[in-house]
Amino acid sequence: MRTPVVRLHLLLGTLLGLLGCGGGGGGADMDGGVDALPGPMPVTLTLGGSPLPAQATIEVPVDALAAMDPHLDGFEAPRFAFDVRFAAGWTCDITVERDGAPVRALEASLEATECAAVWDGTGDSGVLLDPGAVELVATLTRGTSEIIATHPVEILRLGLDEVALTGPGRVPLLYAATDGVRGSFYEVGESAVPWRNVPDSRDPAGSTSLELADGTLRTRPSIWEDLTSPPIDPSAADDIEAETLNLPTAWVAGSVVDVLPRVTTAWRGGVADPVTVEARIVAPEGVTGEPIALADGATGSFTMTVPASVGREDRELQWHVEVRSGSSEDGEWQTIPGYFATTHRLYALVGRPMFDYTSIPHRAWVDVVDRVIGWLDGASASVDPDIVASAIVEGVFLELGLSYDRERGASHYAQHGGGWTGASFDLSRFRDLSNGSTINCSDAAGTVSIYANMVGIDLRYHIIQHRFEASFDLNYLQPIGFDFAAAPFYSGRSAFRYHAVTGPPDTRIFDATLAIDGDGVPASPPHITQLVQGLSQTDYLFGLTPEPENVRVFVDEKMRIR
Amino acid sequence: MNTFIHRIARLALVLTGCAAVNIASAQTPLAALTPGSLELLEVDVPANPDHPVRLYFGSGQPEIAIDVFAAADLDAARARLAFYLSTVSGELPALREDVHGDAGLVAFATGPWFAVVRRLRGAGDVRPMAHAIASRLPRTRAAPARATLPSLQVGITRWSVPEGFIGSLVEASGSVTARKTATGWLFDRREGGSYALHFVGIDAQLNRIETRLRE
Repeated sequence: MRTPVVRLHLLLGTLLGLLGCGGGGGGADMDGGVDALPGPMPVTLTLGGSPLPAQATIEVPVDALAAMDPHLDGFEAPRFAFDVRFAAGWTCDITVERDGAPVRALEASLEATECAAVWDGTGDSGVLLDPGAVELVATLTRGTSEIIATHPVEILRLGLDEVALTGPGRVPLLYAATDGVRGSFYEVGESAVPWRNVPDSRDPAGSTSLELADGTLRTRPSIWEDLTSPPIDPSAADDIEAETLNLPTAWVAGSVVDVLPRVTTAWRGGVADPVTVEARIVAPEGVTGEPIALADGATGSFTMTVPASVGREDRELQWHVEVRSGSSEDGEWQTIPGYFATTHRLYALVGRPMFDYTSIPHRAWVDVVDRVIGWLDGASASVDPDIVASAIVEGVFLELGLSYDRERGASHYAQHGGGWTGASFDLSRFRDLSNGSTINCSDAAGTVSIYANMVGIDLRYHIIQHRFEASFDLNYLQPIGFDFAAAPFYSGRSAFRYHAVTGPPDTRIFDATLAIDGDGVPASPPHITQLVQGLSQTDYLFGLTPEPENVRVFVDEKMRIR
Repeated sequence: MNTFIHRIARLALVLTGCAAVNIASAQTPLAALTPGSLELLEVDVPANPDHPVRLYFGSGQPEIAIDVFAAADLDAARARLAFYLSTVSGELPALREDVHGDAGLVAFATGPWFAVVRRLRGAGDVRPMAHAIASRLPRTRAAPARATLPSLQVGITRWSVPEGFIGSLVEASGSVTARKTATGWLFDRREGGSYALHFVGIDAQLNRIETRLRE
């Protein structure tokens, strides 16, 4: 069945050739110099016993690319191919014209069925053309004969200048040392736009969100890696960079994020909204939502989901663009080469921070969140608070270079007032261990509980004391930073006046001050290090003291940050 | 002594960003607490009025931290000392009446004062230092400094802590955020809604002054 179809097709072409037509529709053109009876014919058919010459044709395929933006990420110069037939013996040239004047001669290749060239969007000078319409003009030439086809292409200029990330699962983050000043807290609130790239007062006049006044591309903001200070802008009224930023955001794990991008087409020559094509920005992979019509200032609404397990993800969103033109068959959208990439750091937490206080600095600190998640090291495939709290205990006990105050067991970061309740912890100084690396139990409990509170775990501060005496005796213990010892103090004292621990409401214990002997015989060697990661109170006290029945656990509150 | 006093005064100016005024003298608790040739580097003002103020002294970086709490009287200061000793898991030997400690940390009560002197880095026994401090601390304090919080318009307001204060803490709520800066505080009132400010200042007499503003 195939042969007759081919024959009919060729026959029509032959007849059109005899009638002097350059080829059917689709943008093909012919001028007065077309050779009506060119020879030798590339194809000769016999119809009714007489040989008929076939006229060369050239036309634009229906799916030819109608627009492009060579500035896009991953842009690969597209190949523009014109369909040709019967073109043996002809030559083919393709030029780019703007307003009827050639701006770039392309290196075209002519093969049996196509005349094609690759174009990267530059003019003859090698510089990318400004936004606007151009025409690709393909010319078949033989002798003085020419057959011409033209294809309109629109050069676009597009991008995003803002990506808001919102949703009920977003958790405010706090920078704890703005511009290096300890205690200079800066909150990035739930509604703060984390990604923005717009001109600021320092840019030369004429700069836009996409490029500087001299045409240099504006660099997109990379993820802000400083964990203690937001970006600083000395010219800003509040000293904080607000125009070019890419700040991390924190979320309750598994949250749905509303992704709200804002489109820009502003370049140094003005606004480059599409003229000859319809264009739209479509949802990146992993993001859902209706496309945004490409127009300067247009906004869209998409959604994506934060990882369901506690962790940190740098997620790149590749915003692709689709276009269609009036000549596109059936109005099919075609994806143009390249994409506009935005990258976003997402922290997924167990839950919202849990504090007894609402004032700043009782927020999730960026450096703490990052540190805790680093301790998980991808090991947590869940949001189980026990797993995360256990990682915190292990991290504090093993990773921070801390050691127990074996001289006396005094606090160096934690403070009490006139009683056991209302304890506070100097997290700002603990951040860089500016009071030293020697700690006691209140310091360790403060660290563990506040770290846990920040990532959404309900750990409280507890005090353990002898019910009747000034101190309680101890088993062999492994103080933080040391091996097991019969006495935690150099003096040989093997008793605590008090001990501070943390735990969830179910009374289990998490403690990073010390490890207990896990071999079931804590009063004598040998010893097996058992970190205190959610032990029942009974098991913990059995490991801690030979007189567990004489101690009491009291105070049940979260520590205040100072 | 004059050189020493002037150094303290200059330091206080740096810390508070205030106009020239000699806020430290041989009689002020701050001067009494300042160890030897060290400079006051930082003042940690607790939000909880029941907690001591922590002063950091050093040359470039903190070497000595002193927690100091002004109690109602000696008995109250002794009670604070007694409780503090219970918050030391091990032992803090008694050095003499109302003084406990070792080479690295000394806690004492004297007059209305309860203080803990500790060495953070460097060498040297803190016991003589603590003894000297205890002997210098005045038994009475002068009247506290005064602070008036600014009324905030929408936008950014930079505020230097009034003269006489060596450390401060500001908590903001409502339509205002407050941020400590190298020279004072920065208030950002983003909208016209109501707001509240809570200022806690520590003066050279180590008075704790609290001022609230609600608009």
